[in-house]
Amino acid sequence: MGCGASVPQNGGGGKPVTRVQPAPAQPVSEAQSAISFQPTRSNRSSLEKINSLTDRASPEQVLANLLEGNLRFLDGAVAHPHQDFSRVQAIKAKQKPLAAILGCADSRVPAEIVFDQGFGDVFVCRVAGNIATPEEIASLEYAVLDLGVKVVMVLGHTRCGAVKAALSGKAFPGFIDTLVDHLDVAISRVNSMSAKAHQAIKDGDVDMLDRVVKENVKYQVQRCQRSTIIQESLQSGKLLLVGAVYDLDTGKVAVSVTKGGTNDL
Amino acid sequence: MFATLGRSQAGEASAMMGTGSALLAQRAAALGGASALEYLREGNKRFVTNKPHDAHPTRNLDRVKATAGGQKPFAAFLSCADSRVPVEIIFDQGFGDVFVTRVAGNIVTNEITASLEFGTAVLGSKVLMVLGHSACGAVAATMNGAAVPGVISSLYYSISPACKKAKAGDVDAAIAENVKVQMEQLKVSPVLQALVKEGKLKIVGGVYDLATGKVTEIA
Repeated sequence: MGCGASVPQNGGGGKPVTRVQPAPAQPVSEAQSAISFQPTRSNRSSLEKINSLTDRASPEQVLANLLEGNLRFLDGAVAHPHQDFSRVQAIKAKQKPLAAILGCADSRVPAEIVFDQGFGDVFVCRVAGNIATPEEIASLEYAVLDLGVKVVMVLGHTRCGAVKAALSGKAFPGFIDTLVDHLDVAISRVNSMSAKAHQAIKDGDVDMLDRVVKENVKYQVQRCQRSTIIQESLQSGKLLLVGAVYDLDTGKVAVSVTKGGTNDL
Repeated sequence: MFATLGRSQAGEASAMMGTGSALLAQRAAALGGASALEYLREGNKRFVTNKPHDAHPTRNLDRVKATAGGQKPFAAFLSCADSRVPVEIIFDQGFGDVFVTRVAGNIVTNEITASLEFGTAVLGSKVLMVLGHSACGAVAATMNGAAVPGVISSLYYSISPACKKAKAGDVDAAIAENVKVQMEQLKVSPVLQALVKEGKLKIVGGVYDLATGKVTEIA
């Protein structure tokens, strides 16, 4: 296999595990890029492969690298890349992460560990419900414009407490309502999809919670897309904007939405 | 100062530094509140003196499954999104340990406050640390004051009070001042105030040194 110069091919050293599926029929149609990137459980030394990922990598390669890290974690074969002191020293002057993540503050989703990354690899924004507030978008824009990240990932997770709180319809003391405002969009979208969905939401159905989590990820991705900086980067093929959900029970990350990337040019 | 250890060395080091179960017992005590901050400090010390990651009791799939049913973090953070400050790694923590909000410049916003109220009042974190870091690009950019495209300047609102308090050009002073300003902002929340008053929560501030890995607490 080449030194990370091309996306790993089918049958080139490991079985393909994850493929982006086109989303099921949605009420609002939107262009979905049918990118298939195939993170593989590689036989090659993990560290060797990770270190061959330079800043000349394509957005798709950067995403594959992240997902492969998740596979390493699932296999119990973490490589702990870039966690040695020479790395800490090397990047202290300037960071050059290849990916940025907008995730939830939930203590069970530590992005660097979930993706087996190290110092300087991922720029990580975290807030309950992984919502794209103006300041979080500002942070992501900084990562795209100033740091040159090639992937922006909105990362939700199953059984999100913030989504659960929003679904409960309860009133909360303090600021928690400001989160609910952001999450209400996904809830009303799912609510309007069918009478069955509406009833399931009322019943506090757990599967419905996860369905709202997924819709919320999609909505937050759309909000990120409204940023002029992110939009420009998407259009020039320099950025891949993805939405993904982390499964609390299995530790696995599944991509559900992708925008941009070199395939879209 | 530290290097990645091989598995056999990890075993030795683990014997020296205490087994997984000892760490887990300390963690349970930290949840009780008395020593949550001390437990965090020890985590940073382990990181700075090369604790082997392989032996960490809360970084594996077993821990993922154990915490899937519910989380009980012992600490909450407001930290920067900077890729060089991976909170769980610098404090040697893992799944379910720390509730972490991150945004460029580690600034307080309505949704961040909401998240931290959730992480403390609802989930039970006993210590809340506002964590800044050396060479923070957001603070430097705010001090510089140059016009920026997009909504990046929305960060300036929250960071400029600290820049005004510090001497022009002294980014390190502004970084420390910014942590203090954000701590004060957090105390505006009646929910957090009540927890502090009842002795259920400590709000502290710290600055992470990019070059040494050490977290220094500031008043």
